[in-house]
Amino acid sequence: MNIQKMVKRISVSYLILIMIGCSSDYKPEEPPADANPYWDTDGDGISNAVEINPANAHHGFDTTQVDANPSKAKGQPNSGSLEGGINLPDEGEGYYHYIGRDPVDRDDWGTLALINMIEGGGRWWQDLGHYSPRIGIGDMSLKEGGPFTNYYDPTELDHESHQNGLDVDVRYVRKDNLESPLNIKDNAENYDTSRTVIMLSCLWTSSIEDTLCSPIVWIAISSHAVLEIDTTDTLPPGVEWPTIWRDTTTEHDDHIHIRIKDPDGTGN
Amino acid sequence: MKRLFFYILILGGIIGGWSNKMNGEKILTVNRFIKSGEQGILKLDLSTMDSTLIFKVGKDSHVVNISLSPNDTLIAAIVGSGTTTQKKLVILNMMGKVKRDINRDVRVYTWSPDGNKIAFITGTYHEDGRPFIPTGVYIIDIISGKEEEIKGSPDPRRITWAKFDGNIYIERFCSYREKERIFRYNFSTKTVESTEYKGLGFSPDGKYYSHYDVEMFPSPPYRLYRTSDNKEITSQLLNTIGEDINYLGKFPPGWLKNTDHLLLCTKKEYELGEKVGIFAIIKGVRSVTNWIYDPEKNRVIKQFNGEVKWVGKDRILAVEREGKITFEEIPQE
Repeated sequence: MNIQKMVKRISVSYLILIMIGCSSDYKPEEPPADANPYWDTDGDGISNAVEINPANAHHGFDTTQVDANPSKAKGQPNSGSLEGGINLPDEGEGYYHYIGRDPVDRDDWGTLALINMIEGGGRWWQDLGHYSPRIGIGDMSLKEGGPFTNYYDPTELDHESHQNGLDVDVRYVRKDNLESPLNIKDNAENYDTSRTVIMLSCLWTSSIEDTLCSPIVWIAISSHAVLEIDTTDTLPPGVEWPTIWRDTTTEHDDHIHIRIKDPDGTGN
Repeated sequence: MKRLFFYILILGGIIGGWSNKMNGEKILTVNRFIKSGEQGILKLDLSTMDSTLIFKVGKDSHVVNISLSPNDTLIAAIVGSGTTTQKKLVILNMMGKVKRDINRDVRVYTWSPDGNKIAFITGTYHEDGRPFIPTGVYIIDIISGKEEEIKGSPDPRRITWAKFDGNIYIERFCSYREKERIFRYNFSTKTVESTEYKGLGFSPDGKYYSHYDVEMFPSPPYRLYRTSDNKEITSQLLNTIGEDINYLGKFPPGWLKNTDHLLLCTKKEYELGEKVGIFAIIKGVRSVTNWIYDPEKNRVIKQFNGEVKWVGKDRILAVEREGKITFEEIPQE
């Protein structure tokens, strides 16, 4: 990690610590300035966990050398596809992937920027001392993107969007720390608003943290989620405020839908 | 005053599901009641502030999507249990006595305009994006209990029994770019036929309709159409009100009952509490701005502040300001 990136990372660390009111003497462990981070020993922006994930074997990643990012979001989240999609390891630091009814490795493909946001957000979450529950990651995109059909009935859709590797569903945080589904309308007493806000902040911070990530642009939450974006702060240069939309139907009562900006623009 | 404050605490909480009844001199509401983990349905006479807990479920259960029948004689609600994902539709009389108990994993329902029937979608919950996989669409006659299945409805997601033509409209779960989205149940042929409509939020007179879907980002989550030619007129609404699309994603406008086609648009500003990064917990509501918009005349016929808690009969709105409820008349179109 070069000095510039490290300084940026540390400044973001402090920003988070100040924001959550932790003691000012807390310093997350950082690798030496001349070393790559432990999670990405070849420094190519693709984590070791992703590189050794068997589902990504076809990419030929090598943890000892710099690999190119094979992924590209094509078209739009509602009508697009995913080129060179990368599979999210089923669990990692601070996160786990829940698969619902889908077979393993059917529903967890994305662009590198999305994978990096999830892995980075998980690390932030764990660095801040949240070991249980981990961040619950749900549907992303299919391996080649396109319409996210129902596995059991391909004539039906499971999602309107999630087509080009930019979307991910995330569970609300439960007060009882279980890594289980939570419908915040049905089971309001178990919904942990404070930690859901911290979790979103971890993912957001991860999404704006380096050049191989891409900022969160849109978040859909349940109208019962009782959280909002505070636009009084200053954002880093070039980063725009994400849009948060409250779903007044029941469709986001059991998950938050997050979309990142298309890393290479929407022109392809 | 203390008592009034207590009720407003109940009414002003995060729990929705408002409906209302105006019965002669009385104004009744039914709302979700939650206290010490117990849930139920609370009936409240706003003219006297007398409340009655008419229906209660155990601590492991919940009551959501409560509504009054259009003829003000029955209450419907979805009841679920924390120990299972199965949900049922219960239909109660105004005393809370169960008249029908449809225990078939019902997720979505709509009253017939006369209030004597309910159409509903059954489905199985699973946690993969959409809230449930539908298994069927049915109509039940509340009095006789006779049921009819609506066959041939592709992947039903939402349903409405339109007042203007008495037909049932069903929205299919599909990508918003797909053209065949809304289907109509033809009562005479007992068949489901596709329509050109793009949404099923019909105005009472059927001249306009809306479609709401947050996943259309960056397109507006709320879209307004003219029924006669399916022309989208959302930008006309936004220009006249002078607001951007963002708040429509938070509070989609709703048609005022007992009007032909008046839209109530609401914008809330929040007081924010605990903050982490750019995200904060909502502590309270700082301000509420409302517009009543007439799409035919393309003008705002009333703008006012205060939280509109429900919409009553006889063109009356109940508005909460600083802990007090006042009743205000909806102007003539």
